[in-house]
Amino acid sequence: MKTSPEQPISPPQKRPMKFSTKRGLVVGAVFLSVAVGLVVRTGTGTLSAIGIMDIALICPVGQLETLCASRGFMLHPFLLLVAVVLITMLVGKAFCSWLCPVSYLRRFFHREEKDEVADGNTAVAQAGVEPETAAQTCVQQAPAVEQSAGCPAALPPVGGKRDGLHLDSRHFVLAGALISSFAFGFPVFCLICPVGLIFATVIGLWNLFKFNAAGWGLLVFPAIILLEVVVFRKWCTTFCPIAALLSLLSRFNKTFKPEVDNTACLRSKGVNCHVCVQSCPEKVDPHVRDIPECSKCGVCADRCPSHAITFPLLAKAEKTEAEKVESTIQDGKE
Amino acid sequence: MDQSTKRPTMTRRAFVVGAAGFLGTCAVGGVAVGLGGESAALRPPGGQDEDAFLANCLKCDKCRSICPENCISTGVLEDGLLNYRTPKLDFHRGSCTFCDLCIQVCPTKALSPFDKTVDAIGVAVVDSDECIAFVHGGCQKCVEACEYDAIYLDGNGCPVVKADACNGCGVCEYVCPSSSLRSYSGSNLRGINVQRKSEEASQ
Repeated sequence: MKTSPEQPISPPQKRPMKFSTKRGLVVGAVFLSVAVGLVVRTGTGTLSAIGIMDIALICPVGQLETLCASRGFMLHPFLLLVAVVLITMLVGKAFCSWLCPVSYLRRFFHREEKDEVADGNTAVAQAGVEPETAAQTCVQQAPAVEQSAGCPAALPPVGGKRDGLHLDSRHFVLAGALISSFAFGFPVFCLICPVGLIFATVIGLWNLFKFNAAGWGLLVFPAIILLEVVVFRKWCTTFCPIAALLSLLSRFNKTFKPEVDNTACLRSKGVNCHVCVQSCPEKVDPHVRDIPECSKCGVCADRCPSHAITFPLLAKAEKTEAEKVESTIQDGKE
Repeated sequence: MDQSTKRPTMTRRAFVVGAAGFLGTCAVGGVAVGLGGESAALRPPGGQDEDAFLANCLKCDKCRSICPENCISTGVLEDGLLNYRTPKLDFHRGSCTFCDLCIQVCPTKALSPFDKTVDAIGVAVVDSDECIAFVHGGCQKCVEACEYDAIYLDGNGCPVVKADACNGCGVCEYVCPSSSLRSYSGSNLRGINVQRKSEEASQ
């Protein structure tokens, strides 16, 4: 929206670092901090609660479970929970793609899914769209389409399968986690949480090398993780209570939402491109505003053939069609 | 094609899967409590109220990670599902100096403030089958190591623990040479072992 509609699409120059690279670095940094903590005893902790001393980014599901299990109130953990809620309002479901190691593990085991996400072009082709609208041709044809007299009208957003608020099986698991924690007096889901178990496996391996302490955990943890990630293929969207809670909270998220530059988006030029929706791991459409399931992974921004998608801190005031026309007229006057 | 305006409602499938997930989570809790058994695991200082400790521990690993004495390890399957991955003290690797770091890092306050002169992690109990002083005589390593004058030698030169003075720091167990000086007996016990207070009372 910063560029005027008349400006031709410049060929992709030096692009900033890809979102996938940035995410890899963040997840790597978390594992590095755990590794450093194991060697030099920093006490940083794992993703269950990671931070300096007792100021930690605490797992909101775990913390709610301890509230239920202890049937009591403690100020310090409650403040940590409030902080996590506020952060979630700021960054939405970013945990799922920027910190959680499960998504990496899932993609490792489900290659076809990875391929689908990795290659937007194939995704478009697989979806059975007219071949000429495949991403590659979109880019080549775009200027031509713009120039042609019979320029097709802008197409409406595709819409993703998981746009809008989703109350689904994950929320049952969340309710089950909290109720059973209350009933049995300990945080139940933490016992089988794949995030916790992944770090437990790392720590188990360290204990094996450092203290020669081999335990059944080294077999049991990976077995549970594999059951959850490989057998229950859609763990994140079907079972994960963390995603359930974060999606509820990120309804209130107004910042760092994907924003599509409609002047650059191929759909505005009548090209039926839906690389962004097809490549989205959360199956949402960045053109739509109400997408609490968006994990801000930036795959759509990485794949968009016209680089039209950004994640600005604050969204531009949403323009209605009338306002857009008005601003175009004003642009013309200037 | 225009799905963006369609409000998604819960499908029957989501309901069935969700109900299964709900019951599954409850089953995990029930099985863990059912097979939990009574663990003898010693908790880090401040975690002696077992119910409150289990309710609040997130298994986040911070206490184990920060312990400068290496004496915190994590529960294994043999400790029961409930204690799986929870921190427990292992005085074969080090003993507690009450540096309070584990209490300070605990984000959920599963470890509460601990006063080493009043509270106790557990109490040391001499195992006369393993203790070198009982079997061969002459060893008084634990008596020398105890900072709290909680162990003395009786008339036969055998160590006796003053339960009231012992706060369960574990230094006696840590220095006990029974495992290295005596032939391997197959037990994981040393000549003196810290146990939970209640268990000592029941013996």
